[in-house]
Parts: sequence; C-alpha cells; structure tokens
Amino acid sequence: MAEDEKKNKSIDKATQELYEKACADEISTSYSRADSLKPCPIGSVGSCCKNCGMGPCRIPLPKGKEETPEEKKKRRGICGATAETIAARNFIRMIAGGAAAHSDHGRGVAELFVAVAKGEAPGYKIRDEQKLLALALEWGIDIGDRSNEEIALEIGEMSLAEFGKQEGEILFAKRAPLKRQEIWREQGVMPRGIDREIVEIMHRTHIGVDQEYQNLLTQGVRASIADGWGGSMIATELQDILFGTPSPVLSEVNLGILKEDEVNIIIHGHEPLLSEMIVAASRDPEMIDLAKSKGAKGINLGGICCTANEILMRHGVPLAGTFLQQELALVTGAVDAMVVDVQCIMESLPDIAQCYHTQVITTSPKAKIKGAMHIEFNEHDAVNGAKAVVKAAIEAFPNRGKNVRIPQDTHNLIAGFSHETINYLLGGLFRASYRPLNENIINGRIRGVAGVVGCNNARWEHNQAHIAMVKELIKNDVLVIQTGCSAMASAMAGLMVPEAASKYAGKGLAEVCETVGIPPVLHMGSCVDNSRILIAATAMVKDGGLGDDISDLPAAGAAPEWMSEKAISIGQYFVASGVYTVFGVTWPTQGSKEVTEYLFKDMEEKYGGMWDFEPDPIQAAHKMIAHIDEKRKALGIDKARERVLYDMEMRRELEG
Amino acid sequence: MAKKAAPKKPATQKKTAMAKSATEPGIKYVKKDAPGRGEVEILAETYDNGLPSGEDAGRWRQKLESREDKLKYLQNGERYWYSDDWFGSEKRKTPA
Ligand code: SF4
Repeated sequence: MAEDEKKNKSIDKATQELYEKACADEISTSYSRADSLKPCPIGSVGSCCKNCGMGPCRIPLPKGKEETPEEKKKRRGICGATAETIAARNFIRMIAGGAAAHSDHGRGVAELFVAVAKGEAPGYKIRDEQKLLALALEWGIDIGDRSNEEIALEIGEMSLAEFGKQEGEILFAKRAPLKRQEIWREQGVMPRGIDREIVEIMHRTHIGVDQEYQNLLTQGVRASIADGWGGSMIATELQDILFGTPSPVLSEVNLGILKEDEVNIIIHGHEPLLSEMIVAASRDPEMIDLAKSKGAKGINLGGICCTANEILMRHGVPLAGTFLQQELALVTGAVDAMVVDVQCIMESLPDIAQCYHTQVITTSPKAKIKGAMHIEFNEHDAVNGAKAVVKAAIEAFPNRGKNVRIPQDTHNLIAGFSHETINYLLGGLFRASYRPLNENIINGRIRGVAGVVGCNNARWEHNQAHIAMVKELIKNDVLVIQTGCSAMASAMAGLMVPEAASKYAGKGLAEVCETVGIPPVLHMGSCVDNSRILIAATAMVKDGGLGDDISDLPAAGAAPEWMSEKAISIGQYFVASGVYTVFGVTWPTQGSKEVTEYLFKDMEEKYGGMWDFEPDPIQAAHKMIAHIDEKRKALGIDKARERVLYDMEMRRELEG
Repeated sequence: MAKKAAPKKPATQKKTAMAKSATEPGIKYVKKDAPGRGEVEILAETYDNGLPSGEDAGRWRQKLESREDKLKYLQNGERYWYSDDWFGSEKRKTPA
C-alpha cells in the first residue's frame, strides 16, 4: 500500500498500521466505505426534505452561479416549504436527535440513582457524598441528619421530574450567570422541561407546522439548552455522585494498550452504568483465576468513545481509541470481547468480529445489533451481568488466532479535570478558586480558553484537524479544555501531560502550566461532560474581572471533526450560552444562505455567541484567537500590563 | 486496585538547600535573570522524577471526611453557588 494512501486516512501511526492490515485482511471499514460512498451533495447542505410521503423533495442551489430571485421562488418542496424552512427543519431535527441522546442517557442515570437510593441496585453505592450535598443545597433539599440514601432519593426523583416537566424552568439553568439567565428569558428560550422541548421540535418540523426559519431555530436553541444545562448536566452530576467526581489520574492511550497475553475487553459506547461494574468484575479474583485457567495472564480493559472517557476519568482505565478506531480495534485480532452500550457504535462490528474471534456484546435494550451476543444490562443485577460479560470474553480468549497485530504506539496522559478538581488545583483546599486562572488571563500570560470537542469524521483525515487546531491554540497561549474523541486525539499526540507545556505551549501558558503542574490541554471527560465546561466558564464569570457573562469571556469553542447530531446539539448550546463556536468538515445548512447567515451572524445579537464554519483547522484556530482578542479588547485587557514592583518609598508616596 | 502510594517526602527542606552550595550532590540549581540583580542562582525543582501510580494517586476529595467538612468546603471552595460569602462579577465589593 502506498504511504500516501495510509497517511490520508489518519495522522496516527497505529491507525495507519491497522488500516493497512484491514485492507490486507479484506475487511470493509468506515475508511474504505467513505472512499466508495460519496455524500449526497443536496442532503449534506440541508436541501433535501423527507418529512412526508410526497417527498423526498430535493431543492439544490443552482451550481456555480448566484441564484436569481425567480429561481429562489421556485426552490420549494411540494408542500410549498422554502429552502429556508427545509434547512432550518433539518438542522433542528439534528439538535433534537443529539439532545435526545444525551438526555436519555441522563434519564438512565437518574433511574439507576433512584434504584441505588432505594437499595434496589446491589453493587452500586453513593461514592461522592460532597457532590450529593451540593445538589441538596442547590435544590433546597433538607440535609440535617438524613442518610445519604434519603437525600439521594429526593434528588433522583427531582432529576427524573426534569424530563417530563411541562412548565417553569429547568433547575440547572439557575447555575448559569444571572445575565445569561435573563438573556434566555428575554429570548423565550428558557427550557420548561427536557422532553418537552425535544418533542416540540418534532411537532414543529412535521409537514405544515412551523414555517418561519427564525422561529424554528429558536426552538432548536431552547432544546439545546435543555440538553447542555439539563439532560447532559444531570448525567454528569449524578454519575459523579454514584461513581466519584474525577480527580487527576494517569493513564495510557491508543491501541498499543492491548496485551498479547491477557484477555482484552474493550468497552465502547457512552453510558458508564454497566462498565463501572465491568471494571469491578475484571478485578475480581474469581474472574482473574478463570482467565488464568484459560492460559491468559490476566484481564486487560480498554475503552473506545465516551464510555472509555468515563472509566478513564474515574478509574484510569486506558483508552484504546476514538470513534474511527473501533473497527480497527477488532482488526488487531487481539480483542476478545467488545462490549457496547449506546451511541456511535458501528453496525459493521459483528461482521468484522466474524473474521477474527471477537465476541461483540450488546447490553442495552435500546441498542441491539444483528450478529452480536446480547447480555442485557439490568441495574438490579448488574454485578452478575458484568461477570457474564467478562466470562464471555474469557471464553473467547483461547480462540484467538495467529493473525494478531498490536501496534506499539501508546502515550501517557493525565485526565480527570472536572470543574471541582480545576477549582481545587488552582486554589487549594482552603480557598479553592478560579482566581489564579482569571488573573493570568487578565495579565495576558493566558490569552484565553478554548473548548475543543467532538467526534472523528470518516470524511476527514483521522485526528488531523484536532491536533493541528489544538497545537495552534496552545502555541498562542490559549488554554485548551477538551472532551470526547477530540480529547483522545490530543492524548494520542502527547498533549495531555505536563511536559507538553514546555514543548508545545507559548511562553505565558507554559509558565502557568508549570507553576500549577497541569498540562496545557485538559481532559474534562465524555461528551455529556461538556456540561463541565459550562460550569467552568460560569465559575470564571462569577469569580470576576472577566465581565458579567460567558459571552464576555475571552473564550471560544470548536468541533473540528464533528459528525454526530449530538455535536450539533452541543455546538448550539455553547452558542446559546454565549460562546463563539466553529465547526469543521462540513456545514449542514449551506443550502440556505438566510439560515446560515442567521446562525453565523444574527445569533450573536441575540445570544452573544454564534456559529461559524471553517474546515481548515489552522484558519479556524486563528478565527478563535481573533475572537478571543476581540473579547480581551472589550474587557480592556488587550495590552500587556507593565508589572511594577513598588519599593517602600513608592508605597509611602501612594499612601500619602 | 493499586495501593495508595506513600506520601513522598520533599527532596529537601528549602532552608537547608539554600545554605548548600551549587556543587552539593542531589540538589539542583538553575540560573535565572533577576530584575536589577543580573543572573542569580536559585534552587531548582525539588520533586522526585517518576510517574504517579495507582488509581488513588490524584484523589483529593477523600481529604474531607466528615459531612461538616464537606459542607464547609462547599460554602468556601464552591462559594459562587453555595454561599453568600464571596465577591465577584455578580456581587461586587465596590458596586459599579
Ligand atoms: S414536507 Fe414538504 S418539502 Fe418535505 S417531503 Fe413533504 S412535501 Fe416535500
């Protein structure tokens, strides 16, 4: 295989090596399918509607020339829907999909939480009493001498009620800066309940309902806030209480974490409910003895996608890879079982597994795949469910063939930067605070903060955009915070260790990182943990000196290799929270100039944040930096302050 | 689960180190420019090289044991949400 062909697929050596093996083994992967299946040019820009049985209606922009007013008038679906309505409907249906995914995850956690509180979920317990108390204080729940379980029951029931609430405001919206809450009320986008806003999108986008693109997009904003400040935040907060709030943890990343002489189990998906138990089961002496009886030296766990990030953040379980490496993990021939829950799981996995010996195991009643073994997760018997999964992997181990290739590449990373931990690291136990961060932004050592998040996309060279963007940002003294596959990409490039500061960061950022002892790129968790970024941004605002609202902060967001509907929902709630957010690869409303203009410009007037699209990651980073500089200017902190050391004489003069 | 690592002793006490010369084995010094004083020799890092190991290595929340301690920490460390005792953008010391 030509070197260029491999390199076009990924910047990562392990991925290149396994892509080559996949081709040699004649395995169809997302890489090869992306080569043979081109994206539909009409659908990809939002100009195809299939919301009723008269369509699909495809209404493309004229090729290579400006559209005339006459042409524009004719560009309608059979029902009369304009290109604007169709693009806006498609866009907010993506938000609905993404918000539903995150929020249903949150609901699942809340249900488990209630079961734990009632003592009906053996094996689980409340691990972080402090966070439990925090939520009780926040929601006005009596603490007194009540047991953790009594408090938890009330919190769990209130969390569950957030999904079906019909009126009022979602509870976590109160965490946002006061000014932000006012903006949401003024713009009519304060969510009432999580499910309600998602359902309303599906209603409004049905044929013949909402046919004003601005009004459609406003509902998209409302549902996205219900995701970020609702469903996702519930998932993060309750998981922290149940499984522990992340603290710094050292681990490793990339497919080289697989072990030739151990039973390799890959945990893949997004919900950590069962995987928490699999971690425990894999350390159970009975399971380890069973593995040894089959000739293995032990049991090795690794993760893919956000389930991986969840168990990395709390247990240091190594990351095997990102979304685009899931098929390649099987191609190593060394994975004995791949256990999946929900979201971003490729249907091709069982087919690939057949060519090796891997047992693909689905565990959620919501996500079955033909050809996979199904061991259903049941919170009332999770310990035995987890053991059954581990046993299936052990049973598969002796069937491992000779066609095994484990790439050598691994990198160390430090993860576990929850909001609570950042606050503690910056200020210490006695006066935890974001003050040092704000001060270093004000004095210019740190230019600003950027959240770089999101997926991989088979239409883009794997990890290239993430790494190019993140390196450019830190080189320019922008502190980067990350979640999801984007965080894994940076870890694979060695950017998530403290040493990366002196190697890649600008002088000011490197100085701060060295002083605090943190990497210049912080791993904040999974994609529901983007809610942690919202809280960190709010803490920066509340601490003072950087304006009154998230939109005043010298900050920006990006998803340079996005692909999922969840990414669109995340991007929209960042914009709705006041953040300039730039996406790469492709933009799904290009079929309507008005809709695109509204998202890229008009939203800034309403929400202080807006969307942008820039596929070149370096250009995108420069746009983010330009935005950060604009915000610095508005705050009056754009000029480096002369640091004057006062001697006694000068002090006396000052006092006089 | 890996055992919690024993707390590391600082490589040296600052006071002692300052009294020792740059040639003292085991103690590192670096030269830096000091404003108005030219190049000066200062004590370099005092940590031991190595990688922290074990799941518990970075854990800090366990330092707070009792419910009172935890509540106190929330009212102090997370004061923006759980206490009135703070000043910042939404509660200015000197009203704008
Ligand atoms: S809803 Fe309108 S635009 Fe969409 S498929 Fe039906 S007729 Fe066509």
